[in-house]
Amino acid sequence: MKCICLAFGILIVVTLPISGQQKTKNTSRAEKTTVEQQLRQLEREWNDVIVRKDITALGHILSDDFILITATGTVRNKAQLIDSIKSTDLVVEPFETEDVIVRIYGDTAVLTGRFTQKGSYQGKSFSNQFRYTDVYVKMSHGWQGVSAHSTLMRQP
Amino acid sequence: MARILASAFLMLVMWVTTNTQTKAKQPKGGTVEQELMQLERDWSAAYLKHDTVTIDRILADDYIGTDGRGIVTFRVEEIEEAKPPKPGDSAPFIVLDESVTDMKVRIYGNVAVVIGRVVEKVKTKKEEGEIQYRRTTVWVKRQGRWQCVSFHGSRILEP
Repeated sequence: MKCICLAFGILIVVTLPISGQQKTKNTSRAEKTTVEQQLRQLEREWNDVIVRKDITALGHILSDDFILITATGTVRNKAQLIDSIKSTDLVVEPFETEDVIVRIYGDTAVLTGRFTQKGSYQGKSFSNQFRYTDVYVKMSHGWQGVSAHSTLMRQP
Repeated sequence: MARILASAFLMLVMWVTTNTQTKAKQPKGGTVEQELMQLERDWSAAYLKHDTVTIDRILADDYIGTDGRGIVTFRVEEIEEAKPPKPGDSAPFIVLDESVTDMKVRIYGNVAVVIGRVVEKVKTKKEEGEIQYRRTTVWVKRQGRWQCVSFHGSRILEP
């Protein structure tokens, strides 16, 4: 009986850390899922503020050191991007990102995907398909976009 | 006197510890920025030399690349593309030379974002020419080693 108890004791001791590790693993996976959902939501907000021309909200989404590389290879900082969104020359229709892959590396996340953007510039309508890569960093006040890069998709 | 000596010894220990810690943060041969810029150049050189061993070391398992045509590639495809062309292969163009310039490195803990400009000399079936593109790469430091997890390129079409 003592042997059984001892064996049972060892089993408990062995089981507890595994169970603890499993719990940590599950918690970490759950946290990752939550962060992923937060980032996908932030991505949708970013799209929406462009359409609404909500410069204040856009200012909160982007970090001060934000850098965008456009589909024509031009480098734009936060102020330059805000200026171009603010311009009444540009009208963007509501759009959604698709095939989004979220990769999280601690307090940094990389999102890749594609989107179709329709709208007009100086009265001329456009419709383009892009692939993009966005990088977010968790700052003291939440996640912010630090980098964005888009490329025009080659038509098949 | 003993107290003064103890304090002096403590200060010496603190100085040595602090100095060693500062030095430990610096990679061999320069700053983290320099190390990452060198890795960008190493990757470029490895591609030209068909050095897939170096590329294999540089790219993370979860690497995702998006090129100037919007084509997405993963690690395996990137390594495959860097291999020497087989007889009879008809690639749309061959890269003869390339250089990465105007690099800017931003570091966020164990992750870094690097942007740069690439000038490529290419040869198509018809002619030789030059293309330029901008790139954004994301690097993650794992077990003391930086690896690239993301590449995105766009042809420079505006001056």
